[in-house]
Amino acid sequence: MTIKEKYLGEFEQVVLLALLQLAPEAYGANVRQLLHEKISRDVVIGALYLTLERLEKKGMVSSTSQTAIAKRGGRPRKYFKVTVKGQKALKVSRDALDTMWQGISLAPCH
Amino acid sequence: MCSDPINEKPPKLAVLLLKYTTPCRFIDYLVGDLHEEFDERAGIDLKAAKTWFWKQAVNSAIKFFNVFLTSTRLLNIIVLSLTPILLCLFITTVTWISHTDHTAPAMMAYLVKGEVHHLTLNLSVLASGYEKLMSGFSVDVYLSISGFYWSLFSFAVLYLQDKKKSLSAHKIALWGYALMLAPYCLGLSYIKHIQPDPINIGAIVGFMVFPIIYMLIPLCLWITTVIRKTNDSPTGLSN
Repeated sequence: MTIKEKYLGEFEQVVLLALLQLAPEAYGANVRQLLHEKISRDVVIGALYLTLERLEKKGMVSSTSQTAIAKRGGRPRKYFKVTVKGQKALKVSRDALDTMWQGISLAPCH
Repeated sequence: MCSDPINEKPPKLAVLLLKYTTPCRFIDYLVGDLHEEFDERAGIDLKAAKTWFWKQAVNSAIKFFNVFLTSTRLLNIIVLSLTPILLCLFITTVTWISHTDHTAPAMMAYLVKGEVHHLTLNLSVLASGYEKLMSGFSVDVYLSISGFYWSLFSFAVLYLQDKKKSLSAHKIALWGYALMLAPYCLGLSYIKHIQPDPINIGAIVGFMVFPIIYMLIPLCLWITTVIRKTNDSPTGLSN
């Protein structure tokens, strides 16, 4: 794993965590909604798909396409799943952050 | 009469915008996702749902356009199309310069000022240069020691940088073309401000123009090779 692949960007981490939370039914629309509900982040769907594609190229996410659904204007869904490599990368990122947070106490917010 | 929000469809123009800007590999899934969320939102507030759909479509289009502008695909197209054009233009111009006989005073005025770009875009210069090129090709005309050394220096700098931290195709293109055009800009500025004797202009123009001729093809090959390697790599990512 290169340095670039080892550490995940903040948005990549958030997307991977959303995929894990929604598994096995994670697809573009519900990932977008989850991010909006949980962290009030209104993500542009195009940006989400570009991130998912990048993660897939890195081997951290795999996808499967399902048949067209009438309520989506007859268009199919693409389901995403976090791979073992993706889970390892998430753990590395969390460990790095945990290490950096050790011994830090922030002033209380008013 | 109120329309039934359940049967409302997303704005056609916004869908059309997405169809023309979204990469084919995403289009069905992306529009499907937006359609699904639009239906849910339309049940609550149709107008807000339409506004939301438009916002998503426009922002996605901007995002995909930005990605296209910085894509290796566009760079590949630019490099592969510009290299032969620039090479032909500059070789023809150099041929014209080396065979010119002061019969074109207007063009000579540009040459004395070092403004070779005016010559490369002049049809009569190109026609005359082409004619001379076809009537007899001599390698000597295209040899310049200063141009050669500059090109060598530029490639050495690029090579060392690439060795230090593997450069992306965009960075090679950026630095490569900047180094290629630097002598031209420097020469132009030197002639404008110092105004050297017209007898010495030839050597300066040679230093300005020959790095372009020498560097275009190797740079094109380097950039396209890096693009190919990037696209072949499993991650498809570069710095």
